[in-house]
Amino acid sequence: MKKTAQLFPNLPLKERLIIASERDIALHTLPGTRIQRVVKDAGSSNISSIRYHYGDMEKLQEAVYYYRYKAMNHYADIILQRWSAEVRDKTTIQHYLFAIFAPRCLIIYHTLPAAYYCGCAEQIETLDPDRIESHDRYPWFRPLRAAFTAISDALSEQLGAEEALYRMHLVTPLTAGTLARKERALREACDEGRVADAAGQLVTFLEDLVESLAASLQREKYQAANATADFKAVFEDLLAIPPEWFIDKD
Amino acid sequence: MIKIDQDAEAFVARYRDLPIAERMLLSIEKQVARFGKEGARIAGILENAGTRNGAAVQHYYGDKDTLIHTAFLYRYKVFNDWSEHYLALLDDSKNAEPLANHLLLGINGAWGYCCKQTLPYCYHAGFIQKMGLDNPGISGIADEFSWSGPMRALIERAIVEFSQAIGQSLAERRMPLGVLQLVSAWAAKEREIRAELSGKKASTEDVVAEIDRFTIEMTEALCANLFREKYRPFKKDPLALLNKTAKRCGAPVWHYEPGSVEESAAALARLR
Repeated sequence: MKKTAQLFPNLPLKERLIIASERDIALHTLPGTRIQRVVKDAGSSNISSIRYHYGDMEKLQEAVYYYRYKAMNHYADIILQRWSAEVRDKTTIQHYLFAIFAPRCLIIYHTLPAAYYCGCAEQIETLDPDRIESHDRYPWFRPLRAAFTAISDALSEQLGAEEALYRMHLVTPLTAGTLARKERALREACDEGRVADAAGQLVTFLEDLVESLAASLQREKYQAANATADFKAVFEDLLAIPPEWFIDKD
Repeated sequence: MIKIDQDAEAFVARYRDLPIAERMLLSIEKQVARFGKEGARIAGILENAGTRNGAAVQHYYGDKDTLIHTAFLYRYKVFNDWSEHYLALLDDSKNAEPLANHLLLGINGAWGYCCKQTLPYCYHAGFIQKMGLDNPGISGIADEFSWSGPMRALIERAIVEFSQAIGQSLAERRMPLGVLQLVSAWAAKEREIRAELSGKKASTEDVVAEIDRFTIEMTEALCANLFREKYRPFKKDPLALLNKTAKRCGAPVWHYEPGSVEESAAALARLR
């Protein structure tokens, strides 16, 4: 396994520390993460680099979530804007689910062959779900939250508010593991040098995921969205945008 | 950032009457469920087992892996007992329609039963999740034991039923999107239940009713997830069958005999 320092030699150490920490959490769980391993992986000589850039391990881990979350919101914003411009009154639950999960798949794509984001998110979520929720108070979190609200509104209309909330709550834990599993599969495929079309695979997977979640949420009221072409076009356009991660300014 | 444990004392008090080797199984289950396999420290295990003897793990189990493996077997027998009763009742029952839903309900029901029987310290699904087993029934860990099998039969029958209904390739493609995440769903539910019970926000009866509801809702959600357009809801209230099984199953027999440690170590060696 290549070290983070070898994979991303051009990034500043501050950013490499985040990536190394993300990888360590994904592989060894949050309580199992070791400061020495992170530092070594990031290619720094000693642990004082963490102290210098972040203060302590906890602050570094805090930075880990913001790092990708901002990018996700950035992508989600683009997608939602496109839906409101192009599809308008035909937007289905699937469209909003796409806005939530496409950014994660883009992150997987951009970070291959060392994609650890979803694994890391899974570990954090299973340990302390409240942490994820606490993102909500940041203003830049609006696009993702808007997508959630749209889904719950659409569901409430069909099922009533209480039932809609219960079902969303029911389905949420299924997603983290699914994404982490896909990410792992792609990572392993990359290691063996047999990944031909990661982007294509991700679009198919995404469509499948979105439909299956919509089915779980709506059950007997479920209808396929038939938006394959839309999804594909948007995903390809987004792939063309060079990845831009957000290192916390503070 | 992570305290070793806030509620170790209550945990120890709850299981005070059990032999120490058995308390260690409960303790590792809790530690792994909360912190993962790598995050579970011997110190935490000992603290929760209510001992200060640093060599206890070594004395009773040899190493952490054997301890974890035995902890898995400890609970797993109940899953098999449950599945056996459930399958028998399901075959007797004439109006278990649609069958695929009912098979999945059995798997969910087993998790729910285990969860109910271990309140308020339900950690089993979390434990299995952190061990990275999506589906303990077909992982082959307990194959050495005569009681093992019904759970596997239940899962395999469910898979056959799904494959027949939507075609094998579709079933294989859709399963990782939902049904294989069953353990994560239960682990999340357990966390929620523990939070409710520890905050004294809910009574045990409420929680048990909530688990029943969750069992059925989860089954429906996962069936819809797999079948999509072809999804059919339960024809009759499925709760009756669950209650009948629970009645027939009675109180659980946790699988712990002093001899099982050696057996478990031997089985683990063969698995490796």
